[in-house]
Amino acid sequence: MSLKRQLLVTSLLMLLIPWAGLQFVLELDQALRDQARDQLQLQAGRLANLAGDTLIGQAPVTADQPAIYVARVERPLNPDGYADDWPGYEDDEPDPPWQATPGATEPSTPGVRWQAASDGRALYLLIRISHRQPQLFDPGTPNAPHDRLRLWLQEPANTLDAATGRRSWLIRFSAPGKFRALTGRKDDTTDYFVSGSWQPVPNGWQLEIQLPRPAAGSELGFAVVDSRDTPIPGLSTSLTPLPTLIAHNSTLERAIAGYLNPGQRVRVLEPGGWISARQQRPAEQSPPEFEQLSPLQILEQISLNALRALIRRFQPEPAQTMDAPHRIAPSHLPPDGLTQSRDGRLWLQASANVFGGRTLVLEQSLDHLLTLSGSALGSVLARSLLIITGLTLVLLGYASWLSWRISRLQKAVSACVDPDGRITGTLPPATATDELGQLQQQFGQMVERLQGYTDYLESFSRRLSHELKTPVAIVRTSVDNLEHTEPTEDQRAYLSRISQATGRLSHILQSMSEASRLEQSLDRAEHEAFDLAQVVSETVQAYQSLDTSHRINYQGPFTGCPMRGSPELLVQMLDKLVDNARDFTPEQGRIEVRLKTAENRKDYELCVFNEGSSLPEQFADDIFSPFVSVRSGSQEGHLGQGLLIVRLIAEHHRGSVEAENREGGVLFRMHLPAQA
Amino acid sequence: MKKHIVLVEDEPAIRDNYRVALERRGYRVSSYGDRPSGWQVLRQELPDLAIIDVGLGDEPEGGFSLCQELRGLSQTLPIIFLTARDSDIDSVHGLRLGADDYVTKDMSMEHLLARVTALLRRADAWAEALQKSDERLQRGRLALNVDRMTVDWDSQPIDLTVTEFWMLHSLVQHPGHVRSREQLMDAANTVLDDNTVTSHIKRIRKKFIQADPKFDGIQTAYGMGYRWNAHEA
Repeated sequence: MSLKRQLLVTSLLMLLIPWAGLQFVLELDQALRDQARDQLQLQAGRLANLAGDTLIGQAPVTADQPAIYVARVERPLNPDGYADDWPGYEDDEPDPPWQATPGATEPSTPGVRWQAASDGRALYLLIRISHRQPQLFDPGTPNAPHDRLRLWLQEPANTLDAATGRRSWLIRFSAPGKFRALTGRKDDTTDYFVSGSWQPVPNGWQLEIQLPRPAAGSELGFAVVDSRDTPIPGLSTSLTPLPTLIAHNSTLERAIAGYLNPGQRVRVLEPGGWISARQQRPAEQSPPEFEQLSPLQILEQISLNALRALIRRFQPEPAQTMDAPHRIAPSHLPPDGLTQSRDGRLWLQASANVFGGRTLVLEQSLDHLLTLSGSALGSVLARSLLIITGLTLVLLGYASWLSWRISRLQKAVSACVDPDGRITGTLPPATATDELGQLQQQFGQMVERLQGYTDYLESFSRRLSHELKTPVAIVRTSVDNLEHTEPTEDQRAYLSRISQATGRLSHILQSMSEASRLEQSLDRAEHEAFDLAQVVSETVQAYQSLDTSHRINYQGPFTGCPMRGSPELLVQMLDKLVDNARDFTPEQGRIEVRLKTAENRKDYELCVFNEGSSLPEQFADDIFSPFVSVRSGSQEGHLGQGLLIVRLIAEHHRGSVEAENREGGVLFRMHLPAQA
Repeated sequence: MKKHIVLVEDEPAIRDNYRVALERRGYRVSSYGDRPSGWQVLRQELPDLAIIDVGLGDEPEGGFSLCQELRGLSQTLPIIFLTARDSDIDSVHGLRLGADDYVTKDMSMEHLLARVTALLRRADAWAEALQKSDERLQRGRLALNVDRMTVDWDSQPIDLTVTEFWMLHSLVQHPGHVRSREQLMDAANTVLDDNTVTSHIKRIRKKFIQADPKFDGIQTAYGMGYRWNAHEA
């Protein structure tokens, strides 16, 4: 596993820190929720007792009891026969605001639906009759059949007006518009307290009635009757008993209001599911003004929100709350616990039974759960999240920085040594003082020492030849002198051997220093523009005329290969290659020099092929190194310096050279860039 | 009368061997082991020829400074550097200081003796030439005075070193004929490697081009050597 990968794994392990933090927060959230639920349960119980006390004496409305739900409106409605000022009109929700007799909902048969509302002083009724047009009352022929609406009101027995008993009103329709109700007695006097309007609507007609608000617990019913006072089927509320009016119990609501905590809402359901009281207290915490936050606080808010979103992901799936405005069947109530309203807000719900079979549902908004037990905890958590995130980033960054430094050091070290193992550069001095910096320094010193040693090795042959020259000269001159002192025949033979050997020695010394002298002169070589084809073709012609014991050919163009460099050096290189080829080519063998533009169009390819013995495969690259001569048939003193010179000159022109065996001979191929 | 040769060489064995060989050829030889003792005698009386090692005892460049001092005394005294150092820089430096020849120690003694003879003969010719008319060579716009070693191009004097002069002389003798590097080295009485010959030729060309930007007298015959442009004959 590479160091980079190890560091990556280590960095990934650091992600365990935020994971552990999240686990902690989730557990905290769970504990807070449990605690909040318990408290909520207790509070619901207390509120239920309070509600029970307040509701003493008021009969509960059961599910099988007919009822008319009276919605609360804040301002008086205009009884003009149109529904546009009724609550829920804008929402385009036909179902919840409208009430109807159970089972009278089949389409295309006459039906009646109604709404009721009260602003505290008057009771408003909106009644819509569908699939039937009214038979109008003609005052000219009062006995002709016509439709009427009869309204009954039974006030509870404990009110002062109880003596009046059941009252009723009669409404006749002459033409769309306003009407006044008649008292239901025989004299048919107009009751100015009850008025309204009727208007035709698609498929039927609709009337809006305003009457004084009846006492709490009153029963109210109505029916469309014909002229003989017989109710038309389907067009009436239940008449025995009359539906109970269910209005918000403002006394109860006021009583409860004082006991609610911020962010809580409470509903009291009648046994039949009607909501008889509803109260809520908004959360005190208003969203902070963005402009007034410091950058740190903004960060804190962001992390707090992130934390909330995270917690929400891991919270158990909440149940959907019933948001119906009028009636929630107690059996449809979600179980106590986490709920979600239709607008996406989360609630914690607790319910308790109220005296008389009623139910009290208390809900606590969970939007600020983490601030539930004080904002300090929330900000501590948010700050911890910030710190953990920051710390993780810093650690990750530090790990990547370390990894970057190590790989940079690695690159620098490998750039110091070329593929041949020569030291080609130095390490940049370390700026850091830590262990890596020291390592870089150590590497730098090592490279420097190696450089010194390589220099020593490279200059070794030059020094050696220099040092050996004087003793060789002594031997040589001594032998020369000896030859003039009348030696015997035996001595003459030995002397000639000594002088042959010293001749060879000095030849070796010369070739030893040749390459290093060439390297020195390469530094001073002047570059010029010339035509490689011309130089090579002329040179090969010269070889042809100088060496008649081999067949030396040239293949390639005679002009048109421009390049920059030193033609003399290239000729010297060709000399060495052809010399080398001649050494290994049998008498009358073929030596071929080829020049062409390489396939990439940037290089020239110069090849020298000779017939003769082939190279041992394993030495193919070594033959360009000093003192290597691997082919058999080598001449005396042939130390392979020639091919070293070839390589030096090729590299000086930023080219390359390689050797390979071909059928019947050896091919040396050089690549020389056209723009050296 | 025997020719007098001074040999300054710090290696006793070589010094003695050369002395014996030279004396056998009939020269009178004085040999010294270091620069001060050599200079002591040389400044009293000039020999006919001096052979000097470059590194002398404690002085690695002692031979070079001795050569400079001798040139201060005489412009015509033939001086040969005999050294184990064979780098181009050293040989070019030695020739610049005014030495007539630069040979390395691994050269055979016969070769050295041949060079000594050639240099002495040249010195004699020089002395004789002072009496009689100079040997001249005219090739087109080029005029060579072999005895005075002066070169003129289009009547403009060109300043060449001794080695450069003999190389040019060798090229000019037979216009159009290719002279190999070996031939040029022999002509200049020196041993140089191929690169040094190339750089000598380049320097000669540069000097001519300074006087005449269109100069095209010396042509390269790749792989063979150089030749004097036949059109300039």
